[in-house]
Amino acid sequence: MSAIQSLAVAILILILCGLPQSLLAASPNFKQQQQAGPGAQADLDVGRQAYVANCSRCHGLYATGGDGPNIQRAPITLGNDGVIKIIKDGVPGTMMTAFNLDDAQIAAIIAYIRSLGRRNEPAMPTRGDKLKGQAVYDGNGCSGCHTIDGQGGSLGPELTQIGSLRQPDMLRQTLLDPGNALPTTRPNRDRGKWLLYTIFRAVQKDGRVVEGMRVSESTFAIVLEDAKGNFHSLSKANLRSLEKEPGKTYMPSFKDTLSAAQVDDIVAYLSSLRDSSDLRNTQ
Amino acid sequence: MKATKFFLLLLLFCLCGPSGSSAQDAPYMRLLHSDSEPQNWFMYGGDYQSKRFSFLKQITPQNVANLRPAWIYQRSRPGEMIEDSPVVVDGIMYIVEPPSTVTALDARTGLAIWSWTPALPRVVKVDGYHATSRGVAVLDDMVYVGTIDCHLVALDRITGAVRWSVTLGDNKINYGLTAAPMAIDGKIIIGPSGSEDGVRGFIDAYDAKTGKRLWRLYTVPNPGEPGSETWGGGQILGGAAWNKGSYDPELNLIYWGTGNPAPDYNGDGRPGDDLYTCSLLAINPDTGKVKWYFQYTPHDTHDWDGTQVPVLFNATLDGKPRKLLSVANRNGFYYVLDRVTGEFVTGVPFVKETYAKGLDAKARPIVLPNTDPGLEPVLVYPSNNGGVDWVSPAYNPLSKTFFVNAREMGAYFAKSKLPDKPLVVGTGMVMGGRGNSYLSGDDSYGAIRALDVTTGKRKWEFKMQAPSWVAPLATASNLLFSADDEGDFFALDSNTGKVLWHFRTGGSFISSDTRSSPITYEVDGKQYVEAADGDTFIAFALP
Repeated sequence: MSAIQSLAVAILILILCGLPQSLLAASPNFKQQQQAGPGAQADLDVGRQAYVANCSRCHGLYATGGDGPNIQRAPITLGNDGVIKIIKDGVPGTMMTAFNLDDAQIAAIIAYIRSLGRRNEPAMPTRGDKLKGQAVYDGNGCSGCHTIDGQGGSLGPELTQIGSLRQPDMLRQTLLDPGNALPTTRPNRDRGKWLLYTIFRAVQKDGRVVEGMRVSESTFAIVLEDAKGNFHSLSKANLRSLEKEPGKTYMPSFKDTLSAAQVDDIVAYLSSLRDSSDLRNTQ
Repeated sequence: MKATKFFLLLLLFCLCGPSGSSAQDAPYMRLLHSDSEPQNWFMYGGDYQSKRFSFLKQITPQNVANLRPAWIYQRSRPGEMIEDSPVVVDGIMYIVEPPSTVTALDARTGLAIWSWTPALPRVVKVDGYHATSRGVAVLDDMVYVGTIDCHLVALDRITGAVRWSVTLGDNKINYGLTAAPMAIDGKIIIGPSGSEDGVRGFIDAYDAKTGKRLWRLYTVPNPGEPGSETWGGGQILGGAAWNKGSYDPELNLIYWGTGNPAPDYNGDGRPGDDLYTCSLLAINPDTGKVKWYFQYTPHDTHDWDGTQVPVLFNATLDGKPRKLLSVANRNGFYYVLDRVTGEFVTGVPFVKETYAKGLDAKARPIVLPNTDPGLEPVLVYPSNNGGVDWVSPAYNPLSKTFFVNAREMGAYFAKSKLPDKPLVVGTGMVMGGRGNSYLSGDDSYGAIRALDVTTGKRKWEFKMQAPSWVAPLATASNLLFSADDEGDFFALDSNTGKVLWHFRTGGSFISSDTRSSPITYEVDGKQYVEAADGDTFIAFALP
């Protein structure tokens, strides 16, 4: 992998993760670390503990991603040195901070991530057929609400690069139970993440009811987008009530309308939609 | 030089304008009697008691709805979040643009008079804190600022020229200054940040004229010194006193909070109370000696620094007049102490509290099980940012009401294995785990809470979308100003919490950019309220 490719991967990983730690500059004292290859004697439990404490917030408990990307294959795509460098240095201008972990801890984390990759291989989306999945996508009205490469509706999230942003398991869950798989905002500094596409029911003082997805909200106002794509700007002072509708979404569940094979296919298709700079796709 | 001359002429114009005001010194006696000059906002907390309270009454609950921006100053350089609380003296406002640029503004128009930027090293270390500043101090003819690379600098108040500069600590090992200095009679007092890399906290006093260091008080002991026995033989690290204190000139005591021990989330290597971290110190400003201390959180493992600014007040308790102070602490408890002796008077939670079920008779938290960060994450309220972080409270002495911007938020805390070798200070962050896995925004909120100052009993609250980082500002006309985390600056009726006015200054649902401490002042008979948000400083006034 070229240096530019390595940098692209590193930047992608770091942009997608969010740790509320500001840096004026990364620590310049990076030192080459010894390889912690597959044969390293690092204790997986130690690695797991260190991983949970330091990495899981952005990358998920099993490195399958969450707000941050799946990093199960990071030791393979970046090499141990690449991962060590990211952990020890962070990257200036991103939310990824440098971590003060000793070499043994980093080696244990890498060993833990490698163990996850092997363990989860069967869950990778290779069992579906992405061409068939595209036909399923086209035949089930998905483009009424979603845009891919400039084509489609805007009520739901754009999917042009969804394979880079969401893991196959999350895509599958969204297809089967969309109301309980809503995406969130990324963590920002010391602010919690907010559910996106959450449906609210607002009753105005004159009795009119507006139902729609939360687009934005403050202490004093909320903007909702209704099922037809109309935006409603509501002052909270003019509302009699404002209730969340948990589990509700404008996206239908495909649990009963698609076969298991079709779900695999559409997951394979969506997973293939990636940012061209996402080098994981080339592996 | 032409620009300099222009600004000097502008300064003269401003100072000799229609009001007839003139450039006066700001001697200690004026600072001491700041209540008699409500047109000025002399220091970070408004006065030595840190009340964030103004006797100005032009803006009232009846007319506040007419407030509108009088001017906006856009900061001159990109950078970290503005966290400044301006100082206003005789029509000149002194702000700090992140990280350490001091700018003097004409407080009537927002026009810049002079600006001073330190020459910072290419790499500045800010592990565990933001590259910003909370403000300046003014004394006599000088303005004092702490820089992010840990210099205390005295500037000429009229020209911005450097009079003296001293280095407090080595930024290469993570010492840096974000706090506003304290100016008392002939002395400038300040403490640096840096505990997240394990540096030893201290508070320094300097001769205001010369910059000569008068004393240094370390907040944690050396091995063998008193207090070291509370570290269980482990490494003694942290305790940075990185915020400002308050001052009682009659008792001749300053009250200054100390930060967390290091590593933040794993206390296994420092069994014991870890004195004098997460504590309030009462210090004789002439000697730097501690008269008494009060520890809020013994053996902290949640990053609950005790650096909140105390409010000094007097009250009658059980028929006796008492000199008291109160603190809404990061650990979620509201404390009232006797400020003469440090005696514990009252302590009650002011936010949801799952760490301790209360305080015992000696004020020690009665810690609940399974609240220490585990190898598996544990959910604890409040979050690592606490019931309140560094954001100051306000106090209305007329209604005896304490106002705090409370954070209702929990977080998952986890510890990680400590390195086998002793820590080499300055080689990087030593968190020992994580405490910033927050509950979702939908499961959190912020609230301005009005508390009875002596009991901590809640009078009212005003809920906000998210926990906020903006100090309240109280006025004698029963107004309370603050802002939410989404960028709405607002005024409440301070007796009821009812919203009277709000103005959208920017900010967003997704990001948090509002971290200011609003102030109020008067020039030429017009009262202004200043608030910072995002990249701007805004002054509001009636039409």
